[in-house]
Amino acid sequence: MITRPTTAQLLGAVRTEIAERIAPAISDPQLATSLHMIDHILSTLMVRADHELGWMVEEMNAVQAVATRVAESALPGAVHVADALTEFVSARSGSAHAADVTEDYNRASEVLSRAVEATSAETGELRESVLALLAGRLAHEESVIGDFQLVGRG
Amino acid sequence: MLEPGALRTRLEELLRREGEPDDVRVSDVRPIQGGYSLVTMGFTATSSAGTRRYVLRADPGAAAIARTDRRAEWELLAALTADGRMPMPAARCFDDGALLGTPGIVLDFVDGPQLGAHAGASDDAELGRLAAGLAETLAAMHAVDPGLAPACCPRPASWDEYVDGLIAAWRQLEAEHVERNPFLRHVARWLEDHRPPPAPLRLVHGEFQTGNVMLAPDGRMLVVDWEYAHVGDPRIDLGWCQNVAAFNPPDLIGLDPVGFCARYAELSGLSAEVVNPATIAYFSILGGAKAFGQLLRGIAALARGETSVLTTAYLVSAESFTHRLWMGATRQLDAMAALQRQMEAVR
Repeated sequence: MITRPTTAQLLGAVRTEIAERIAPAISDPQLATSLHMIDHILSTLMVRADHELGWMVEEMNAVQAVATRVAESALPGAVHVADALTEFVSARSGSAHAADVTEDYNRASEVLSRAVEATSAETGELRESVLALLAGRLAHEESVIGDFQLVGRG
Repeated sequence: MLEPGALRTRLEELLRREGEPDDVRVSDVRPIQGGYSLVTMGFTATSSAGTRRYVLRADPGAAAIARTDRRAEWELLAALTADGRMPMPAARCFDDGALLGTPGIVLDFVDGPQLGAHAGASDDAELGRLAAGLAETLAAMHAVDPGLAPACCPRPASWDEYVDGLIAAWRQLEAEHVERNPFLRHVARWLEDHRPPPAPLRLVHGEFQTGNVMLAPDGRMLVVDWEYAHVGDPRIDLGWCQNVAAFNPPDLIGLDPVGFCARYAELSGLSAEVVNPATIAYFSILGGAKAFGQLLRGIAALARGETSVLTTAYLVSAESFTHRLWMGATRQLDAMAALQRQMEAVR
């Protein structure tokens, strides 16, 4: 395996070529918009290549820890969290391949969703822990999209 | 696709059928920018009776899928035009496609800018004036008798059924997506847990934003694009207006949200408990499932390998962008509610 330069560095080289040599030669505004989109997508891929698998594993571990506490609580929705948690733990592949981690992460997302729902009426530490999981997930998503702005129609 | 050249003679025939003199001639047929899903063309009709400018709103033709029904929209617009109280350009005639080749509605042309575009180039004083006008326009819209809505117009049996349906749309989005989404589940549960006091059901626009308001030369604000009109909670229009303004500033409601709500409440007769910045913010989230669903369906198609459109790939980032908006909005509203509870406890 060649690991240096990294995937992100290779994508960076593509972005540089687009920005410095291809974009200046483009006069068609639609193509220029396409290039802008391509550059943004490449920027997100740079972050994902560097961090995506690690972040998913970290998030899954954090979800499992907090969801275990929710599942063991007396909250009305605890049993639903426990069911999803059992499925997540028993089906977790242990593989580091992206497709397998993504499947594991999807099951962890269901666990988190049920924990969000089970604690919705709570105001204490457990609820804050669940919301912190959402905040952590959002922080990773924000790191991926960077300064992306969604501009709608006028 | 409607070509301006071929459309000219078809429009002449339509206008004659609707009572224009035989010598009517159509000219200056030009597309109007703005809508995503429908064809919108401006044109001039000249006859011995005079010269008038109109707008044609038509389905995009066989190659594209129209998301809404032009005949249903016409039935509503015709009823509202006959009533005369809705601030909108008059609807003149409808063709089911027999003449135009695709169903279309002809309305009066408004010779003025979109409110949103005008607001974007306005100073603070003008923005304040526009915000006041917007509150009055919304109140006037919502004062129209919802009984005028034709039978084809969606009409919930109760306020609870209406809100339940909108919350269910959030859950359905998540259930149908290609991966589980805790943010959607959070929003759906939050909406269930934070229902505001109910408001009387009114005829609402369903996609109200400053891009759908035209400024007439006499200063009136005229509301266009009624394809999503239904009977519902009037705050859905205020909320959606704020939602769109988050992407397309300026936010005329957000300039002075307390003042805006107070003015709208005064004109509409609704209480401050029913209309306030917190309840409007609730509806800005509640009504978001429709637009977000369009985004998510595109992303899901990409994930399933059904499309490889670059714009859809680019808009994957928009999903995260909206996650941030919702989390921010629900956190802010929770903080406002907590502060209010503290203030009430002090009193």
